[in-house]
Amino acid sequence: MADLISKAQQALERLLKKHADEAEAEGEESGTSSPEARPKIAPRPGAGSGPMNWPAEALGFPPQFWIGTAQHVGLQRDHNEDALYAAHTILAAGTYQSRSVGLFVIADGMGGHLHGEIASQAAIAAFTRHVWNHLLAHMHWGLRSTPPTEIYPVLHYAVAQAQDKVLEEAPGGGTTLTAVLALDQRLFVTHIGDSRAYLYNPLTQELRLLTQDHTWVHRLEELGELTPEEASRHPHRNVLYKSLGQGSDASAEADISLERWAPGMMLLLCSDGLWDVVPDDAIQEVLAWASSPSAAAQRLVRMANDAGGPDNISVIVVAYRPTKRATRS
Amino acid sequence: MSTVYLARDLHFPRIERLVAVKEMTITNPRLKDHVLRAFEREAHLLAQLAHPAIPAVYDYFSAGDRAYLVLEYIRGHTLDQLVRSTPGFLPVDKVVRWAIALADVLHYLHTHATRPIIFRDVKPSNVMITPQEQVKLIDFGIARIFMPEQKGTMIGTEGYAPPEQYRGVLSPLIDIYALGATLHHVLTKKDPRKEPPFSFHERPIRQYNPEVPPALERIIYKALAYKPEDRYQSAAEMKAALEAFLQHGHAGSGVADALPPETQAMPPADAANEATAAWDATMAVEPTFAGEPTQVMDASGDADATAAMPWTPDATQSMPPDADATAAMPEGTRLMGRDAPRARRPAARPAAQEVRPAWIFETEDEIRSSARVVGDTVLIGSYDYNLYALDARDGELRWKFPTRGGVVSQPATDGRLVFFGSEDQHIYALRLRDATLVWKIPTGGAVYSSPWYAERILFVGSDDGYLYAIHTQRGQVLWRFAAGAPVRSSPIVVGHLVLFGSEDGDFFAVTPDGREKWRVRARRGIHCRPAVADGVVYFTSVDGHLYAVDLETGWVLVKHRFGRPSISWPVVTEGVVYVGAANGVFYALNTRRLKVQWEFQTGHQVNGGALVHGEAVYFGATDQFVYSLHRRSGQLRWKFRTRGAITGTPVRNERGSLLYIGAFDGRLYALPLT
Repeated sequence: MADLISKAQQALERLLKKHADEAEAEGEESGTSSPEARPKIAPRPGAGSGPMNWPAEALGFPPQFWIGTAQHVGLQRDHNEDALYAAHTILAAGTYQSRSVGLFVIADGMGGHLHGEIASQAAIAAFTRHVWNHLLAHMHWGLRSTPPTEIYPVLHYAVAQAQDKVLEEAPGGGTTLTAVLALDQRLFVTHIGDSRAYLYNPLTQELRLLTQDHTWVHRLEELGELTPEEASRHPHRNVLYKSLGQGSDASAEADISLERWAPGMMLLLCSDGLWDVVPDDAIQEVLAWASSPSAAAQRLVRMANDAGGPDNISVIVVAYRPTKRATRS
Repeated sequence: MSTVYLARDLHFPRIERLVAVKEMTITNPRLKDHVLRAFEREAHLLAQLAHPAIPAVYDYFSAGDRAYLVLEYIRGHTLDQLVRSTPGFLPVDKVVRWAIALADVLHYLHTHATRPIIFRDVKPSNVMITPQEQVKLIDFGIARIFMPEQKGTMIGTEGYAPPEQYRGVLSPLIDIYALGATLHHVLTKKDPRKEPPFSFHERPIRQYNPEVPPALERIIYKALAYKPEDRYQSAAEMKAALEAFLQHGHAGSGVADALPPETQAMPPADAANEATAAWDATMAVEPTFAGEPTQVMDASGDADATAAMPWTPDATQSMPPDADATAAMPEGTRLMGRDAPRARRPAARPAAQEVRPAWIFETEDEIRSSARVVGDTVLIGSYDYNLYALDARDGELRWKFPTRGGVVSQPATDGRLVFFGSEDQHIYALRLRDATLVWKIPTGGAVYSSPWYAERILFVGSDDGYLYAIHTQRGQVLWRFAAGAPVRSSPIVVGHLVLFGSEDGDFFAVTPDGREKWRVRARRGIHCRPAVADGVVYFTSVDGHLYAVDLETGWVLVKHRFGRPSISWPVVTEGVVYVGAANGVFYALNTRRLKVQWEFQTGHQVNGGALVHGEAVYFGATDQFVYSLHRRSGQLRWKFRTRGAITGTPVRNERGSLLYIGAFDGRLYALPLT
């Protein structure tokens, strides 16, 4: 028996080592190598940045959405009120109609213990459930690649469901909600509060904010009453005029917008625990040079803590990988 | 966290004395004692107040984790309910009187002897109007004890709170701002909670409700001043300004009568359900509007711009007074609430018809389509089988080209050639200069679709069920796409996709080589020319909807239901879609959610598209009128009567001085673009 076990163990070890070797040779981060390891393959000329943007062939990887998440309570809070959600599948995979579908959500709760964390989780639960039931389930189980119904009303109603759920489960609590529904090259951004979604384009090195903060301070900045510097240092800069669970149902209306991204680009969702302490150019550098979305997400969290970690930190990074086509080029 | 009950005070057993009992639940048991003590303090404070606008407090008590306040029972509706349930705007006089009453009670609170009280929560849902039109301030913030504000969360009444309130600043000027915000909401019916904060100046009151005199608008905006020092410095000051306005700022009398007395008591909790019924009864009494008559020309005095212009002597057009122009249908601009019962307004004050055509050209049969302007030539097809080319300035005939069927499509041009279709089943290409026939292509059915020219290819549909792609130089069909049903809609080309609909309700996106990229299925036929803005395609269908579809994928983003068929051509400008429907309504919808910004009721159907020029939008209806509205508020600027139904879309000349529109009376009108 011991014999068999040790043989199996050895076989397993050999398999793991083979996998690790292959992964290392192809530059992909494995469980054993350090996140910072620079891969050995030279970047494609013109790509302008790091491994996440290299063609799939270089890495030998088919998946279209490459996802990394990271979360930390921060250095000054004693519990976590953020919630995050990242789900991905490929519909009609392998066919002409194949579509990558992803749903990524961040919710930053408020209201203290037993309010904040319940609010953020309740919001995500209700929102994602509604989007799945009314949009994605039909596509997934019906093996279709076209949404069955109008998209915007589904998203608005999902937010209304989230609002109801927060009021029900965490009365007195509140939460932000920033969600991105990715259907191949289409991004549907649903947003309320001051969590953020960014889009990074490595070719232009541009980090673009897709959402606007629903903070009073940002509004004053828009009106020209505060400069961006004043706004970023303001002691009340986190006060929201729109969120779920607080205020009236009339103000719990989310912004919904349609964005487009292309293979090579990257999506970043984060709570203010990240963007409030780590400047945009530092974020950009991480996205440009990290070896994987996981590495990027972890590094961003570390940077937020290095900057003091005053709040809970949640990060989702999604890299849009080009597909490996069935036919050879 | 609070519920209100209607209760009977049993201290007076022999009569029915009704009171309101407000029950509040303590959500955080750890804070119970603290909350109960705060509640007691507030109850004592309330009991000290004595003002007609403040409900009397009779008693308070607590039981378990609930606290109760026994209050005077107020009958009536909140301002919030009134705004939502009343079709059209509330009468300005009433609103001003209510404002004076509110300023008065705020003054009382701010100058209260023992401790100045800042209400902090002035908003329409906290103001009740009784059947005797008394104003009552309700919800005294006692609920705030039960929902303590937390750090990093929202503070104050969002939408109605001034900028300094987020800093926790407490001053009477907060209530003044909130009163201004409340009045703004009531007079424009625009809920500030749905807009970005402090954006009242982006929605000028008079743009939405021209009944509001400028003096009143100024008072409200002073209360809404961004900096506290720029506002009225006291409620008394604001009250005085409102009173002065009421006395001097208004001309004439005619204030609406008092409301009919209510016949039955209504528990406060059910008030919302009764609002519509009660106020339907109210609104059956026609409100008369004191003040200036409805302006026809916009306030900048454009009335003078339409000085009489020379017009062809054979025009037999007379200018009937508006009295008979207003058909039996109620007319006028309504913001929202299109499903609410329509208020019968008195006929708008006669619009002095100052619009005179620059010229009129008469053909021999109906003009159903839209004109096309190229350089100094106007091209128009008529049901009399001809395509006409006229001088754009004076309407002189340059040439006319006969076909064998009605010409119901809008011509297209590449600058040198003119392309159009005819009921005689052909697609024609003529030389613009002299109408020489260059080529004509037969199809299998009548051509009603208006062609689209893009990079030497002409796209046009036919009743034979095909969309044709024709090489214009060679006069050859490159390919044709089988749509499966007659194609009467007019295609457009955007970013290498040809977009059009069919009689069956299919809407197609076809690639430049004739293959289908995607299709959307509507329930009934599509006749319009679609519009595209920001990667979204808009089109109408006889199934009664306006669709907004993602250009790349064909996914339906959102659709708007008219309830009646539509063949109108949507026009998109600056985030607004302008479109009409067979219910005679012309809509302005925001592109984000296709929500109605405003709507305008005409006398019959709006089947054509609109022309947007400057601050105005122009369109025709089958009630024979050409309308010009302010595009932001939907207010009528002028209307011009022709002698036939209009189904085309107005087009303008290059200089932007004239618009051209044809009607079923066979005439093409050139109207000054004012």
